[in-house]
Amino acid sequence: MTTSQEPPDRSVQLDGVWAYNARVGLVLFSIYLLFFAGFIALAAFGKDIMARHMALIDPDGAVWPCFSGVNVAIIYGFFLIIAAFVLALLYMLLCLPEPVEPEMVELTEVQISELAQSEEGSA
Amino acid sequence: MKYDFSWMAMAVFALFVGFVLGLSFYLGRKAKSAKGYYAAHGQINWFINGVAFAGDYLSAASFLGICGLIAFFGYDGFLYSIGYLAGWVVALFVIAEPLKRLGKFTFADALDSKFNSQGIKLSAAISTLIVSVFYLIPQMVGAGTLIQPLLGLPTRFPAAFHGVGSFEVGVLIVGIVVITIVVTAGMVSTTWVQFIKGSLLVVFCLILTIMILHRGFTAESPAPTAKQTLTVSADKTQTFVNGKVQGHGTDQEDLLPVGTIVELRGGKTSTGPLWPLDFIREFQNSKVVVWTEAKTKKDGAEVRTFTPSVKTGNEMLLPGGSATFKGVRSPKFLDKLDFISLMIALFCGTASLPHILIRYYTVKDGAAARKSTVVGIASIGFFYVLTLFLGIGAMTSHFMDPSNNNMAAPLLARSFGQLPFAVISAIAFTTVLGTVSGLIMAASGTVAHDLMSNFFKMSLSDHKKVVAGKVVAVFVGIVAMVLGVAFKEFNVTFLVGWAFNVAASANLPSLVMLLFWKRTTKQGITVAITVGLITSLAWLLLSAPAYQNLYHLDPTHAIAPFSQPGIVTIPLGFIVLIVVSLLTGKKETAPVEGFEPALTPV
Repeated sequence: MTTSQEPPDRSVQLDGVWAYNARVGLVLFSIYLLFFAGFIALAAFGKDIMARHMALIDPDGAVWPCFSGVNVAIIYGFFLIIAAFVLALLYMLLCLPEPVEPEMVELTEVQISELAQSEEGSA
Repeated sequence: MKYDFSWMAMAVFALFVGFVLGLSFYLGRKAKSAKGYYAAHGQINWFINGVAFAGDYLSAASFLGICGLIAFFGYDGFLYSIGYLAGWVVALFVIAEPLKRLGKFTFADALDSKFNSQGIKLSAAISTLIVSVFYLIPQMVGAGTLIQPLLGLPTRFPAAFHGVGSFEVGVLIVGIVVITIVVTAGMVSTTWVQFIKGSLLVVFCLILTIMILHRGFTAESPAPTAKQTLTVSADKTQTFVNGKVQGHGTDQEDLLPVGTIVELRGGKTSTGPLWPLDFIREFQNSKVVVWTEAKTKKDGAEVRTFTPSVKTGNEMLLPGGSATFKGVRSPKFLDKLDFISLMIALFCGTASLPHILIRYYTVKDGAAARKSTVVGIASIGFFYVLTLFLGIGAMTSHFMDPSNNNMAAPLLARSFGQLPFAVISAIAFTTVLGTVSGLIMAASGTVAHDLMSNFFKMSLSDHKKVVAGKVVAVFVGIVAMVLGVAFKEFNVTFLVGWAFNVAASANLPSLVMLLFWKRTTKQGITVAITVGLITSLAWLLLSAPAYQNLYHLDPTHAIAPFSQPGIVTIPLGFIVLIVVSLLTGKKETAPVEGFEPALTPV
């Protein structure tokens, strides 16, 4: 005899997991959208900023080139590529797994009688 | 430029193609059912699928086109790298999991999962076909470009062949090989071809990048000042360079290879090996010779004039160096719209490409879809970082063909010897094979599953569904070959940009609103797809590049105000969907049981 026990709340759990994962996705998407929009804005309206070389200035006024003195356009481009990967990893870590689908189980006669007894007891 | 035949290049090329075809025949024995043929039984491992995403996505545009654009125009090519990758963020965070839950074989399944609407089935199928064909064109152009230096064929055959040349032969070869792959084994072999190609592409480009960094830069002065001209006769049977017949014989002349640095920082003559960021900094502080092209007509003959000029590396590493994006440097806002529009289209387009979306049905569940997308992003992102080094390496290799920027990557490899050239050319050709087979799979699945089975309600057995898909694959392959020849004047990346515009305009509004707006109706989706498709296509075909390269008309007479329509047609798709859904909402039947938008309250 083949029987299955579908937990009544599995579809509710699934909806919850899907909605949570979708929210996480949208939050991370919004963060990346800000980065990307910033890049487009700088490329279109901030050529001078894009041409600058990144550097740190210490309290004594000495200039320390960052990223070997490569310009902002290149660094921002690399940043967008790396940020996509980092956020993707974060998404994978934050997403909840879907509840495991119950399998169809072949019960022995003994298990069936035990199940019937426990159901009678609980009733 | 004319290229001499190389046995080594030919042998490596034959080896790659033979291996791919052999694999295809072997795997073809396992895909007899419709689910096996179209979705690889939904049992592809997530890691394999992730690398196959890279193989599917890193098309001729990414490899040949971006390298060529960076080599000739600098940072503008890298803009495509950034945009192409950013698009994956939309695919992963917004589309991947819900799409996997809703669909079966095609993305039309997902769009139609709530409504069972004939209108959605038809419009989504037509959209898939048009986007796939648009994306196929640049792949065919890439194939045609590659085959001439590989086989050493003449650019033009004698008059009896009506102007047919090596380009057309290349298109024919890739068409036949790809149709064979798709017809023999479907999604299983397509996935493995893409996996192998994706792996090879990333690994060999890494090796090439290491070779570039090890070589560093060498200054070559004085800078060339003489122009070069390439003339194609009116009957298209002969080519002349600087007035002489093109060739390497006596009284013949060929274009001189270009791509040199004329001055390095501090007056050095060479740098020696460099670390990656130091490589970019040295380039930034150097002076490089850049060649610009002008096309004119003289007595029916087409004359292309190449003119050298010296620019600083820093200028080349800023947006706006190419004709496409020169508006970025203009003070007028309207001039900047082309750039902004293309970046929006690239960002939105990836998640709307049918051949990418169908890959989500080859894995077993949402978690596998998620993991394979992350692997895809890692592989693709790494490759796009490499494109900058490949492009700069090509720009300074002194091996570039000024008449063909699509050949930059293979010619860069040739600057290191015949074997790297042979391997990179063969990989580039396999690159085309992988992407084209994925596109033809998407198109054939759409016709057999969405149109024949679902729209026309034809009662097809599992076997007949597979046969129908194979017949469609042959037909789509032939259409792609014809269009590839018609569009051969375009840069392949530029053409892919067009495909992204069409895909994002037609498909993204419907996908996103279906997933996140409960009041979306079937009429809203149908009209949004139709309007997005027609407006973006019409815009592109009325733009200046189409006037210049397709119709050979004066581009200043173009009707479209700028060439990339995404900034107008993508929002238009959303607006149309919302308005039509609000107007038709009350008549809507209850949603199919089990369907809920992705963002329902917990």
